[in-house]
Amino acid sequence: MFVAAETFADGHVERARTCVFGSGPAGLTLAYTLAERGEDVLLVEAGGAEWEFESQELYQGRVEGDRYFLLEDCRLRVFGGTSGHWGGYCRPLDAHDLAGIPGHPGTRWPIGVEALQPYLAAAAEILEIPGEFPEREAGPDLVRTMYNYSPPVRFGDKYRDYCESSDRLRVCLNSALVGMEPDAGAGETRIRAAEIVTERGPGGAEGRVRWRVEAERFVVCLGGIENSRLLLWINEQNGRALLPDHDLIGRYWMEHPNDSVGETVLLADQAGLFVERPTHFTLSGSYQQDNALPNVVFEINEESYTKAKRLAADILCIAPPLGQRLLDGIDKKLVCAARVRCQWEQVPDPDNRVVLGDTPDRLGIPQVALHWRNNPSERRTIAASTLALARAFAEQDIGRVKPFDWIVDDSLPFPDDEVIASYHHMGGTRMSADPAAGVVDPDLKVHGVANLYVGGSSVFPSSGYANPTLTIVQLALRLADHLRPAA
Amino acid sequence: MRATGKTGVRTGFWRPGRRSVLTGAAALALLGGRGLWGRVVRHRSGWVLHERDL
Ligand SMILES: Cc1cc2nc3c(=O)[nH]c(=O)nc-3n(C[C@H](O)[C@H](O)[C@H](O)COP(=O)(O)OP(=O)(O)OC[C@H]3O[C@@H](n4cnc5c(N)ncnc54)[C@H](O)[C@@H]3O)c2cc1C
Repeated sequence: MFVAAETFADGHVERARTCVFGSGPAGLTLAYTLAERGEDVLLVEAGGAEWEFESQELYQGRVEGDRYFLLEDCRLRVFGGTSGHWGGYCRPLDAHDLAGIPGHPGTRWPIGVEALQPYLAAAAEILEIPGEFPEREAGPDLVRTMYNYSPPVRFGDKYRDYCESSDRLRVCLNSALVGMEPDAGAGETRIRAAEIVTERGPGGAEGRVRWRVEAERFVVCLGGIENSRLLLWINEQNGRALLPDHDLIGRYWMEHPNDSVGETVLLADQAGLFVERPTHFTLSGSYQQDNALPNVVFEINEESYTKAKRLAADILCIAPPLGQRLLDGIDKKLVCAARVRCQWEQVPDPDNRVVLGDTPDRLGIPQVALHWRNNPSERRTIAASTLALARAFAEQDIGRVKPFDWIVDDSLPFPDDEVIASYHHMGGTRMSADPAAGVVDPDLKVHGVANLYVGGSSVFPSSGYANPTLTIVQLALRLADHLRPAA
Repeated sequence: MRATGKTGVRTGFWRPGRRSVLTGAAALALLGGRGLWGRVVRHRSGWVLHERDL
């Protein structure tokens, strides 16, 4: 049921066995699954039932480094979270992603693919996609990979009725987590209560209520930037003594840089690789391993007939037999032009991080400052991977690729006509079995705190190329099993 | 492999061991790789072609 927190008196205490903060794909998946298993759950969401400017503006912050989206535009502070915006591209991480990026031991996940695989079918059902992602070998080093597309599921719409009717799941909207109180007792730290502020009316125009939640365990699912921001802030308020390694929180933040890397002419599809549009290719795990490359995906997007003619005419001048073959094929509709886009994995960098800025928001929490750069090593990832794709296309006669000049000449800057990123906010509270190397343990419990958990892509130690939400939902289901196994 | 004579194709090819438009880390990654290119060449026009194309 929805509980009108704006009617609470100041100092009110709400009790639950499990308290989940944030109602995006991570938080709602977890809260719903636990409630369905008979758990008493309180879901505390900062946004309202509908999008409001006054709520969204609390997501403002500063970016330092490379050009990035406005922080209040690249996520949603509303019931259902950023799933109100997302594009629905779904894919699980590859098994070799969890083994980490070759040459970067800190990127190895403390869990293997066998820990996520059991949750794939259920996560696919939630996202309303098929659970199979059939791949095809397209050459010795090349793989035709596959995404599935969620309608896309808007979590707020999907679970609104359930939230209204359930008596095990209570939902408080317009209610932001702003602090946590640890227990003073001996032994491992426990969180006794969380502090919440509920705004009455847009932007608190009709006042605010400060109240508390007492629960046995707390799970923060605030998204890939806010998880770090709130943990930093809560730790700051507790004299940096609540969480063992303050300096680690917010670090190793990652995006999926994404840009056009070249153009291609595609020949008649004799191998039957292009079964969907757009079509995706990646390099084999062994190729990445042998060449110490992070993971990448290439999206091949068909372009116009005129473009195909122009590219074929280009090639006619330098390689007449091929040029003629292309021109003949275009007329028979066997050959087309396409744009090659690449989305690549960043090597996590401790200097890419979420920190607390200097300006407080209207709830008194410092706005976020995001430090983010494309690492120079990424030029090697993009160049080597794009050229490997181009080579495989030529060898297998799939097509011919013309990588852009900035791909092959790393003295040229990254193009600056668009933001080279994908709205995927990962890392910051990375998972590790070693408390000195990660913020959460393999069960997503914060190291050193007995009853505090984190959900969402902030726990990723590395990101592969796959868009994160399917993995976020798999991890939320796994966390639900940890907190309350199915009967 | 056949040169067309039109644009000096032969001289424009990038081959392992030869100076090319590929520079810096990218060139090193490929030149240092396992003889990566075989029968595939990168023409100075930027197209990556198979030698049978020419
Ligand atoms: C334009 C766009 C396109 C995208 N496309 C894709 C795609 O195609 N595929 C894909 O996999 N991913 C995509 N994403 C990313 C995807 O939206 C996120 O991975 C996903 O929403 C993250 O889920 P989450 O639950 O971790 O965080 P969110 O969905 O961001 O949810 C966090 C929730 O926490 C709430 N909250 C924040 N602060 C507090 C607080 N202090 N107290 C209480 N609650 C709080 C927020 O209001 C929000 O409801 C896209 C994102 C954008 C912006």
